[in-house]
Amino acid sequence: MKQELLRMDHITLVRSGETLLDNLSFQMFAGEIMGLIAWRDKGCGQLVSLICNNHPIDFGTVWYDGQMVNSYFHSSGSGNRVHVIEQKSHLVEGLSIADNLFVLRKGFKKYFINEQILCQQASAFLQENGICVDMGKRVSSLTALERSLVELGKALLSGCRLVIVDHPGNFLSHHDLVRFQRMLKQVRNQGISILLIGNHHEELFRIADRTSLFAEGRIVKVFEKGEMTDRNIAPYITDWHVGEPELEPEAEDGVLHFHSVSVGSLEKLRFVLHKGECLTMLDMDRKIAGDVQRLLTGQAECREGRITLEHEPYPPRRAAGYLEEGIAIIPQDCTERLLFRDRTYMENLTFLLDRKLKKSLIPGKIYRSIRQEFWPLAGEALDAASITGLSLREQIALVYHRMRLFSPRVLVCIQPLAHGDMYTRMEILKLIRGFLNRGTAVLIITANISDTLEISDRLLVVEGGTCTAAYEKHEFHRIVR
Amino acid sequence: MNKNKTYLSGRIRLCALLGLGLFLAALGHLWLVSLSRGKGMAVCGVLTLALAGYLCLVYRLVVMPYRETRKIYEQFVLGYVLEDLFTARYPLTPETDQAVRRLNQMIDRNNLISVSKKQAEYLALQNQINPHFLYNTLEGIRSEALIAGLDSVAEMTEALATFFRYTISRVEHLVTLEDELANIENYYYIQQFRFGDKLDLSIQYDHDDDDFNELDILQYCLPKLTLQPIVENSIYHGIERKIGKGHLVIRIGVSDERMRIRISDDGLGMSDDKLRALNERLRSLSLEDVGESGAATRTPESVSGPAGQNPASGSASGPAGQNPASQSVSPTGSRPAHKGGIAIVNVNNRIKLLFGEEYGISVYSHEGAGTDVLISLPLRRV
Repeated sequence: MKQELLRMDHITLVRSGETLLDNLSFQMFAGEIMGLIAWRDKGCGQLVSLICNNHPIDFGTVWYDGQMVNSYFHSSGSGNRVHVIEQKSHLVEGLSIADNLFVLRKGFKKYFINEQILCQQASAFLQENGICVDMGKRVSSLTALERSLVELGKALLSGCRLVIVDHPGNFLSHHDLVRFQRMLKQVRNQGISILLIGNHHEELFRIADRTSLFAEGRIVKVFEKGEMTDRNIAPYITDWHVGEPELEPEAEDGVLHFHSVSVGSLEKLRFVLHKGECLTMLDMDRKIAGDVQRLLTGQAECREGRITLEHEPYPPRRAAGYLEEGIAIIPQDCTERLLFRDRTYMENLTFLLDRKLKKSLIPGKIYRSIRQEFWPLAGEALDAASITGLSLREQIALVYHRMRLFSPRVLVCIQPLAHGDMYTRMEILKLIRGFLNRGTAVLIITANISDTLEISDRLLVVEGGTCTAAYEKHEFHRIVR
Repeated sequence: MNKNKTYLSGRIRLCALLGLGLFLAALGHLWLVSLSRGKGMAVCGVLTLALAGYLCLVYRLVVMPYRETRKIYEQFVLGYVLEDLFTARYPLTPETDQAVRRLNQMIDRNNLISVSKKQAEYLALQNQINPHFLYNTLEGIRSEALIAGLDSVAEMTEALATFFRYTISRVEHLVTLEDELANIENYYYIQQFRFGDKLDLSIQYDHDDDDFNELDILQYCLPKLTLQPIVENSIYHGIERKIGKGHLVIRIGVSDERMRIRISDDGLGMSDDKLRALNERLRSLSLEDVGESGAATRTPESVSGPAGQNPASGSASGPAGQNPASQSVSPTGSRPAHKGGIAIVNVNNRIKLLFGEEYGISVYSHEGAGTDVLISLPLRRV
């Protein structure tokens, strides 16, 4: 018989007048993988935090492992035995794996530590649980997969019965993700529950025993075994439509060519990007994005091969002025890296526009014209004195709007759908569609193709730095997402 | 302001603050004197530490428990909790504790009366079954008689008789899941004459363990007529107005502590506001709902119903060609205009009355996608 591990009954959480969790009821059983899709992620972080720690709530009761651990009338503030594996590491970088596993564990009271015995014990424990990690490595030198596996081992060792895995697709490559998911299944079979949070329902449906759809602080639907299909989720995402292309990609003439380029992790990578075309590169090893970015911004030079932009060579010297050359790059953490938190929306929007205009000051006429152009898109956010108060969706849109001002010939988006809820992702796809409709060639480099295929015209699979497979739009149905 | 002065809590707080102020003033004076004289500072330090310790103790032993109890009272006043009031860990005084217990006994008696009243209400309603329901069914029988032959007429009549026998003749509170599901299948059989292929019902069991099978699950108990009103709501509010085929799925799962029954339909669903309001009412046992003998006086707009549908307006479901004014749903098949969707609230109240507030009903719904009604019950065998 199933054993109930976590039960949250009618949880209401109001902070600063905003209802973050709204009469939410949520259950998890022991030994199951529960998927959680954030349709709209308001309150999702608070839900995770509330599962981990018994913070005060406005109404409801939380039961964990058969005990009432939190209630509206009494919140102890204590933590539950729950571990979160996310992009941010929870290990101490300077220490060894064994130290992280044993020494930092609650209740460890030894004053003299025998490193060798500790390593042997850690190794035996990890092997017992099917986790293979080189024990000689320091934590700082672990790969993302190894770090995740060590964290999983740490969770098991500390007796956690629930492990929350937050958007693993954001920090694991395609291959690593498959291996990690295999590990999660193994752990599940030992009676440990996994709450797997993700953006892509296809990904979660593949591995989860049940999947909950979360929106606006409550669970909208729970898909049970046998119900996790595209058809069943379709009515909930009916407004998921990014629009049809207005322009057909020009197949004749390429804008950006990579002629057997080798540098860093790239090995004779060749592709051509056409005007108005969206090309998605599936980065199986999660390695090429940085190299492509360095090449296009002039920070690296081809070891072999060459790059041409509009049939003209694109050497590092030319690439150093990439914005002027018509190449815009939106990195993965674009809101962190491209926006100035304390500047106004308009200052952020028009940043570097002076370079394009070749004027030290933006003339008032142009400034007003920009305001007028973007008012229908940004609305009142345009008047924001600081962007800190804007939602993630608005901040991401601001980045895309800024790039739009440069009217680039090529737009490179790195992991564009890694952040945000389903609505934010849909907004991003719509913004990319806007670029395509204006004839910009778009290159998407991603480790996860689930939603990018909605907008892509072609898909290249890149493995070991080289293109291993190519799919045209009409062949996308063959791809198992 | 004057009213606040009458509360003892306010007076106690005021006295405590005055006492603390006096003590702090005395301590401050002591510090000043000892600093000016350059001696006796150790005593002052000890007194300050003692005060800090005392304040911590007061916070842990008085303030925190007081806040906890006050929160329970606040939620009780808002109508969100009932049982918690009687099980509060830190009653204010022995007398208030006794008074609350006395209140509990009184409410319990009232509850029993209400439950009985509900049973009586069922009987009363069942004795004057809405003619539309009978007409529909009899019309079905007649059509069948004309078109086919006596076999199906006999089958349908038998189904109808079984249905009435179950709902009217047995008045016990708890029945086995097997009996309740048999009634649902029977009800579905009758409805099929109206809906034909448009309605599809399936019953699924969620169990991984081979040692624990469907037969075991079927032996668990639940309040009588828990499922039928909800299935009826799903049909009339969810599926009937839907274009195309509608699917009803009853999924039963059992964990170590509770039985979960989910009734899903892929009908019209309901709007966010209606869903929110309905779940708000379902989250607790409200005395108002219990006292209202079936909540007949409630406005139907405040409860469930498909998106954009006002059950009172009669635009709701109903057999074609009937007077729409009489077409909302009640638990018995009769559909008086005032009772649109109230069935779920009634079933929820009954579950909470019988088993406690941690059990009951939650509703998940999305406009255009369908509605899931999740019933949570304790594991009880006959």
